[in-house]
Amino acid sequence: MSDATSLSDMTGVAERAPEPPPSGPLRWMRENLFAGHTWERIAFNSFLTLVFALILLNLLQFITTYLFSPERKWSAVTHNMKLLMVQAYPQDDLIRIWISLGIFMVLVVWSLVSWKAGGRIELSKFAGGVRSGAALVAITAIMHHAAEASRFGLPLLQLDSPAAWSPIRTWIFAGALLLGVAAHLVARRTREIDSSPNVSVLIVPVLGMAAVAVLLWTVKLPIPLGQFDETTGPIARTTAGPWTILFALTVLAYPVGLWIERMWSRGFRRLLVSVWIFSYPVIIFIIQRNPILDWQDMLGLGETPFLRSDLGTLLLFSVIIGAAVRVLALPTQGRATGPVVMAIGVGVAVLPLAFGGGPLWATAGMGLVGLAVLIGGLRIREPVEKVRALAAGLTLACLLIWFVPMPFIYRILLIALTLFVLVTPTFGGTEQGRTNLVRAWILVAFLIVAAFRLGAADTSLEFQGTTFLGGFNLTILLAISGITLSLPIGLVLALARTSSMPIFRLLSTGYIELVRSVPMITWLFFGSAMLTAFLPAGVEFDEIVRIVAAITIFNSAYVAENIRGGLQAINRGQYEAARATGLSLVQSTSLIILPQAIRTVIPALVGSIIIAFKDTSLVAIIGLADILLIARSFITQQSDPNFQGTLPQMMFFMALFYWIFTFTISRLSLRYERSLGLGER
Amino acid sequence: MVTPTERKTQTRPPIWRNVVVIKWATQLSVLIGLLWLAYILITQATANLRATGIPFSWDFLGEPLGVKLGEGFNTDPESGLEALAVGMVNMLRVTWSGVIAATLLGTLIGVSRLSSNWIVSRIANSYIEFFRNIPLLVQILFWQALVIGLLPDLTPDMEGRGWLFASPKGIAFPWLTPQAGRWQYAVMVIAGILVARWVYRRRIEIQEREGRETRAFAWSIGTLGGFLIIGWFAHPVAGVLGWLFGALSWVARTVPIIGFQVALAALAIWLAVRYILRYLKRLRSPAGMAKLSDDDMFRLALAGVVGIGVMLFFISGAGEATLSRVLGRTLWYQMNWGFEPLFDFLASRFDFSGGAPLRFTLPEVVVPTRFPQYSSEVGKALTPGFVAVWLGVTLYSAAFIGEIVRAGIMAVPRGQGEAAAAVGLRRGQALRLVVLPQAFRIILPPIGSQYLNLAKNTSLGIAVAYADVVQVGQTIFNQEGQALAVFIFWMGFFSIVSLILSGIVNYYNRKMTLVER
Repeated sequence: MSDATSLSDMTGVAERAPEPPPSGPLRWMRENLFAGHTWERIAFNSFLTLVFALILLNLLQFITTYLFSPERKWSAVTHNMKLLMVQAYPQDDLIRIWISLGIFMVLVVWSLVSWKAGGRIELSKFAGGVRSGAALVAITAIMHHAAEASRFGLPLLQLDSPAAWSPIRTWIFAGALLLGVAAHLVARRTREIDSSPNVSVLIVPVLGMAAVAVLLWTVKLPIPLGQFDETTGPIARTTAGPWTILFALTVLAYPVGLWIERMWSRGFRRLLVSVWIFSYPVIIFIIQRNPILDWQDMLGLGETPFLRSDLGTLLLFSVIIGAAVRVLALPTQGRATGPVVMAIGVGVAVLPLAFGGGPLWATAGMGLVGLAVLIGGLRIREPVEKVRALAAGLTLACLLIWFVPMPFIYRILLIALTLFVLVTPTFGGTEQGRTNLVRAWILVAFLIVAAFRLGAADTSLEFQGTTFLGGFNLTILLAISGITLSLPIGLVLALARTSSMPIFRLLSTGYIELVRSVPMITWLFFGSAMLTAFLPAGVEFDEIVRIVAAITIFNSAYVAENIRGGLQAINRGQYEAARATGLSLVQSTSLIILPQAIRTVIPALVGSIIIAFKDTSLVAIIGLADILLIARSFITQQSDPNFQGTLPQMMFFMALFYWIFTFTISRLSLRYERSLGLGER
Repeated sequence: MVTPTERKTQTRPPIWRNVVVIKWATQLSVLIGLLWLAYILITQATANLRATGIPFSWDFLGEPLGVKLGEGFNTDPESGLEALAVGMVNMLRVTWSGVIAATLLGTLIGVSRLSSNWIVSRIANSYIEFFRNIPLLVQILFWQALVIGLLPDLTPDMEGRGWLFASPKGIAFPWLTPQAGRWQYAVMVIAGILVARWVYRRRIEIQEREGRETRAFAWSIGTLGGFLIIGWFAHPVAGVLGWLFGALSWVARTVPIIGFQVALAALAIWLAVRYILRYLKRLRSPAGMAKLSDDDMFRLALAGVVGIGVMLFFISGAGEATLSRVLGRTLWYQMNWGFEPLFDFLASRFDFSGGAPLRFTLPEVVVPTRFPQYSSEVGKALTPGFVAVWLGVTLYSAAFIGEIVRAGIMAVPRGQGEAAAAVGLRRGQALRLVVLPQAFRIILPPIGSQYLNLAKNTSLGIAVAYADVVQVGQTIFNQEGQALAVFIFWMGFFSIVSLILSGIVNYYNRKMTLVER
């Protein structure tokens, strides 16, 4: 778990594979397999080569014999694919999953377009990759043949026996061989040319998707057939159809994205960022969960008074307070700063009374804070100072509001507002900054209101079990939530740990070391069994929410350590130069230091994202139905005798499944890092 | 914004503009806020737990558990604390054997990746890419499934001794089974290591002074071997230690508690004062001037507060109670626990009896009832849980260690090796004396954090029912409902293990850095 080896360690790994030089395989073997200038070296190298080649061959044969043995019930995997992916999601609503996937894929394609990712790859390298893939397929076919031959006790080369003879395998073998030879010729030919031709990298996923689409309609998979028997059948239309459509959509989205990009380049990128942020709650809470929303109540037309309804709250906080934030951000010219500050002071003082007042000390405290802000707005001469005084007052009020009765959402919104007021003097310097600040505030207010509404609404889905998420869907949710939530927390912790303020440093160090000292599984136990004990009676969160909280607690400490590495790698001169140009502490940190620090640690952060993804598998131990638990327990414990005793092969499948994902992420990020020259300072 | 020139005209900034005031006010308010939050959470938790009828308590440590453990030095523990002790020992077993195996395998893989032999380097590369990209839990479950699902069952006709048994009941192999004199022999071995170290240093000293080859390594190995061989017959000599431990036990028993109280309180104050004085001395410039920053003030204040706190703790009743438990005057949760029982235990292990301390034994399959199993007397039998966890953490960590080793070797500039060859060192010498020490310095810190990860990763044994501290803890909290207490116990245990491991790594790290200067 959580291994801090950064991806930058891997740089230079991919090129290590020596390419066969043009002068022929014999010379290549001399140089790479039996190399040496003295007899002893040559003998030693040949010995190593022979021993390891034998080991490799035996291993390959064992694996293929195991995989292709008729005792393996692969229908346990193929038949339960839906269970593995989405657990018990209602059959009729599966279209929701497909829609989510479609949105995700289109967003990925458009982001690739907008950030001009992709680039080009040399044709020789591409052909080399095809050659390796074809070789793998051909070797697998031979191994399969060997496995079958040994099963029937036949000599390896007796091909006329029908028992070990499979025409499909022969065709696959021949096809792979032909493709490999062709690719090899192309690779050799293009390398000889001085200016090797390029192809777009995008051709790789497009070809891959095309190949998968063809396979979806042609390949036959094992399906269970009664007592310990299985046969093969085509993939269900309900799987092949949607995937084909998704692939087509993905390919089509590319030119559309290009067109939008050309029409509207800067706005497109900003739009994509917001859509990515929104897509997460929209996909999980609206598309997949399908909540029953009381529109009348939300719009304030129902029984709740307008100001307490969603729309009212949103309007109150986003429009009125948004305007106030904008005024506060205009400190130098703003004559209106004083009145706004005073008005908010009055608001703070009156707020508890509007909800009937809490305990006397809290109400009085809020009143005093409001009064102080009011006096500050009146007496302090400089507008910036007024805003600072307001921020200080609001911070105090944030502590007190927990003891005054008011809707929970108001408290959260007030805390968010306090944070915004705190940073207003820092970022409100330019017109663009002010606009961004107000936009960000409206976005945050909307997200908070939406989260409360969507979290509380009932779902219209009918599912078994406690949650509508399960299988790989749940794995993905845990990974994404854990990572996105732990990034900002980790950032704050890292800043606190490197700050010059001893108490902050002490607190942050204590948190990080305490969290890291214990293995993740104990934090998951904490989340599933103990977190509820700390919450007020009656407040209960879903188990998934508690687990996400536990994962966030754990991950944020590791993220913080990664970011701290970046912060410490920055030259002190950068701090000093930033301060010398007159930037404040917050400004120099957020505008000068952090952008450089984050850039430096992107490889390490990708590493911790991969680790977080792998670590989601641990929830299987505490009984959350993620893909691993389903593969390990649900399937193998089914009453169908076809699925009993399939544990080793299910684990083999899981290993391969996880491996494909993590390997892809690490390779993509490696490519991306190299194209940007990241992690090299 | 106020321009700097404007501000210069003011004599003194108002109090709310004073940077020091703002800084400390912010920190203190955040601290108070957090303490407040902690207070609220703790009161809430206390109330909630009381409402469920299971108030927080440590009583389970002393009460019989009524559960049998899968494996360990005592599979039928009498109390919760004893069960946890078994779990801790099990966890440490996997950890230390895993650390050694992963280091060896990882080094081999890291070196293989740099091999000029294509097939060797590709295999090492594939190993790394394969094992580090699969979740450890999946790997552990996979090994468990292989051991349980693929190995042939033990049958009654296999009864008898053999060299190697592998079955769903675990793996058994020959072992050096310890006999009665093992404690005395262990003392001889430790003494041998210490003397060998001293000999090594001594020979190196001579070599540096006189410039002749002294074969320090061979000398130290010879010394150690001598101790091992002579100790095999002469180990009853170490029985003298029995008297020493007896005396220590007598001290712990007879010195009144007030003596320990006063000594420890004085020690705490003395340490605090010494720290403060040294700190002040370090800050002072040659001219005798010192300017304390906020940070320094905070450190000094913290040292003072901690010192006085520790002193008060030892003087107060809480300290007395703790001390009496630590010393073993009263039993802590019914487990024979504390310094006095520890010394008594050690004293009873050392006598002047002779005989071979270790015996080479072959594993044996016995059929006590209908079902064959491994004998616990001879050979070494590993349970499937242990095999799965050990294989999992070892192979997984080895992939990461391989990467670290490769990066460390590659980070040593090529010129170092070439320069070593130029001054006439042989290939092996250049590697041993020039390249490896430099690579080792780069490798050490990340490998230390790998060891920590490995130690924490052993907790996944819970998935294959390996009775480590997490699994035992979970059993306890399922039975007793004391989830929070178990969690605190885990935190304490893992923190101590982490501290010890990182302490060892830091010690070597500091040693290596000193060499550099």
